[in-house]
Amino acid sequence: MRDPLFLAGLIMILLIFIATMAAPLLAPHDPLPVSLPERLQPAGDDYPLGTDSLGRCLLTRLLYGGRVTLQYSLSVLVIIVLIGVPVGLVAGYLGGLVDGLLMRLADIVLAFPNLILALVVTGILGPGLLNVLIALALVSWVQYARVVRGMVLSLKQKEFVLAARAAGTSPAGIIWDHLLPNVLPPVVVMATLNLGRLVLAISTLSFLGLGAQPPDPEWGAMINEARNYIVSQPQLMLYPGTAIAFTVLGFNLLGDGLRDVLDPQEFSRPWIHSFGKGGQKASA
Amino acid sequence: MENKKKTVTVKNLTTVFPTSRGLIKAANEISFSMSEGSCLALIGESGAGKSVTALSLLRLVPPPGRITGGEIILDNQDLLKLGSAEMRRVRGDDLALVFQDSLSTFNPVRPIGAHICETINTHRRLSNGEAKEIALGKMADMGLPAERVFKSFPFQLSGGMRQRAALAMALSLHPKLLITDEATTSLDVTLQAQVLHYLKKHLQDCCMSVLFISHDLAAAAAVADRVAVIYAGRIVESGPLKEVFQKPLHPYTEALIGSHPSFCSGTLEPIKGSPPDLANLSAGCSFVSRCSKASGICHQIAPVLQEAPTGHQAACHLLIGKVVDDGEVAVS
Amino acid sequence: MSLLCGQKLIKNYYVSKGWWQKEEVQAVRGVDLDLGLELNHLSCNDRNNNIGLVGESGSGKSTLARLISRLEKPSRGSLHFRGKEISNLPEKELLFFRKRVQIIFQDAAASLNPRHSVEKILSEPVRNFYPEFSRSERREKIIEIMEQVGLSGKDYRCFPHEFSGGQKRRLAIARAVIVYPSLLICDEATSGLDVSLQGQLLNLFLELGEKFAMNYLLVSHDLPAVRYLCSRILVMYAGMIVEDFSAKEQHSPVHPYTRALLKSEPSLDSSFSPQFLPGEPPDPSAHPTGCSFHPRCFERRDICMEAIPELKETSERHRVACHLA
Repeated sequence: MRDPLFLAGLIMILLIFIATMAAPLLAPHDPLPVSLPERLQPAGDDYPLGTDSLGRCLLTRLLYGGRVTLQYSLSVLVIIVLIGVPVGLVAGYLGGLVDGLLMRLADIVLAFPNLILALVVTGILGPGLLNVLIALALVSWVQYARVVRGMVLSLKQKEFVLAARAAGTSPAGIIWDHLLPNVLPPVVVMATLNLGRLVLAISTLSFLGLGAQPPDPEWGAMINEARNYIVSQPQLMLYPGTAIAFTVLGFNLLGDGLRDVLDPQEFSRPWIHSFGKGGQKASA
Repeated sequence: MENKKKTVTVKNLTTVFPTSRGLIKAANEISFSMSEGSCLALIGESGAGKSVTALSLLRLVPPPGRITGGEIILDNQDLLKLGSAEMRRVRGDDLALVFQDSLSTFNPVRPIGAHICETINTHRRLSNGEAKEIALGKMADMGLPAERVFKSFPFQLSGGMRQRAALAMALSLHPKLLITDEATTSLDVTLQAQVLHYLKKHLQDCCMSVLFISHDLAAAAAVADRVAVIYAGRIVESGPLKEVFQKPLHPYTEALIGSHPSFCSGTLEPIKGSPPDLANLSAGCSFVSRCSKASGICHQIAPVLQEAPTGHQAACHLLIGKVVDDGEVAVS
Repeated sequence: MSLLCGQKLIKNYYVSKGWWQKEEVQAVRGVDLDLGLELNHLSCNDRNNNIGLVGESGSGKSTLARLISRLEKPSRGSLHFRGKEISNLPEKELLFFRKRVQIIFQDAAASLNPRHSVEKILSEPVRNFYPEFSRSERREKIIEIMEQVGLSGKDYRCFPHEFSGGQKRRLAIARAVIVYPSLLICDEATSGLDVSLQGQLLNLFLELGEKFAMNYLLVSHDLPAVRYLCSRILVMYAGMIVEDFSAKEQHSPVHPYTRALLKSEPSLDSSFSPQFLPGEPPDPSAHPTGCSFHPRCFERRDICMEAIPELKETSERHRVACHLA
């Protein structure tokens, strides 16, 4: 909590969440209706950030666009964590054939570059945010499965897991009670850092025209629409670009900070005790 | 033996660690001296201040700890007054330290021999051939197959061989004082016996002193000629090995000997309770809460180290009574 | 009928060496073992039934402890618990065995899940073995057992890191004895401790053994501790048992390794100079031919290099694996 960067990240993310979730209350206009007479207006009283090429309020679209980006990146994240973590736990703890099969599957998925596979999936299913979501989820669970499996492989040699087995706890009980709580903190850190990347990925796919479809607002799509005006009206691109950068930075700071906060070191007592422990170790 | 030249004299060495719960005196007014060719065993439980004393002698106390007072006189110079560059020269050259964990003493990706030669070359201007010769000689002294160990990586050796290689490295520059901090603790008995044997042999051949730090009374008995027992940062008893082990004056020493399974027949009588919290020491003797013989004065005044006529010292109020009541204990 | 009995127990591990090769490491090489605890031994629950398993690091004693507690499956050989073969049973059919045979490890701190409270740690075996217990009954049981091992029963809400090293060991013991096992396997449970703490634990073992009619298998490299607690001592070298003798009846050990082990043990008597064995313990991936001790043995003959000696009874309650015995 003493880490200022962690605090900055937390504040940035909270700001974005509150602003986007409260978009219907905060936004001065409706994000969708086109009003050609008011196109490309500069910032003023009526439009705080001006209007885009179809005369829609830029601030309104920015707020609603963030909503879409965040909602979808969070949903993808939930899906991949829900697939990746159990797969990793089971593969790591059971080992043998189960492990072999699951990890070969993971290898196959890993062999495709993420974005290319997402492009293929959307190519088959057609463009749209839901398909982007499926595509991203299909490829991203693998890294969670791999990391969790690695952790489980070292955890299951730990004596507290052996002790639990000696105490008669079933494999399911061991996975749930002993492995999961020890695996979760690093997964939370990973997930937070990953959110930034997912925001980028969704924006990228939308920019390429595969994600959010017009007239729906979305940051990546907004940048795409602003391409034609990059010289005359650079702010059209700058605002959504800044919003993306701000969000990604916020998640990265938050993730790095969480890494320290959730470190098991925090479990140990103040300095003198670690000193005492060192002494005990020396005699071991 | 008393006439021999003193190599090291430590006077009132105090090392403190500031913590959130107050200042901790991890080493509290430690004093001892050692002569050439002697071995002093520093014995105590974990957290008693053994390792802090060793690190203080090398002036390597990890921050925020610091040495607040005292003198460490090695060869007529006070180490605490040396600059950091001079101190670096003394370390490894005149003063050498062997740790418990020999696996982390050596760089895992370099052969043992290269490591030892590098240590030699830091302090002496020698050709590679000469350095190698010294290294091989020392390893042979330690009973190692020198040529093979010279080329081996740390993980290829067993724990006992690695610890002997670490000793060879520490001895390669003929230090005046060798400190072994729990150097044989993690070894099996047969390997421990090997290391102790070579250490003792070397001690007799060369004019150096060894500070043997351990919690294992029996290992200390095998190499040391003098013993200092440390409890809660203070030396509570010191004297010749035989005197201390056969006629301990301090109740703590007595209890330590009593808790050793190999020296008691019948039921063990281990010391009750656990060592005191160093941040919260009472005014009296620090052993008072675990002492079966404590009386009123023990709760109020901390005893100081007193000399018994045998050259055997102890910090205990009962000692005065013991000397008066039973003159034989002190005289014998 | 003996409680636990193993025949020709073998455990091999495979370590990958290079890209294709796998190296076989033989940790336990054919151990016949009869933990001769009678089924109804309630009357003789003093030190007479405790068994010590002594050996140096790498001798396979910890692996053997894990085999007979069935935390590892033996590669070959059989293990009978009260006459029933258990070496291949799946985990859920082992419950009846786990209830009777418990194990504690050297590193007590590592054997307690850092994210569980004491109540959760201690209720784990109770929930598994006595599912009929209610929450309050469980808590009563936990407080009772904590007091038995010398902890304060009020501390059941604390977490392991709030206890000192000695208290953590007591917690680990409490978890093992809470189901009243017949046999407690202590894998180096008193090693690496200060003498006073070690003494306290050894006495606690004796006290609990008497109270709960429980016997110990003390796996250790520390001979004095083993001699203090146990009446029968098994000596292990290079994955095999080389000698099995009674500590109390003053059998003098016969095997050259056991004798060397006793001689290298330092003692407080300052006139005593420890003698040592030359050489190094064997590499478990390349055991010497014949008797695995022969490269370090002072008395070896030609036969020692050719044939592996069998563990045979030389006198009553004394078995030795040496050609010279």
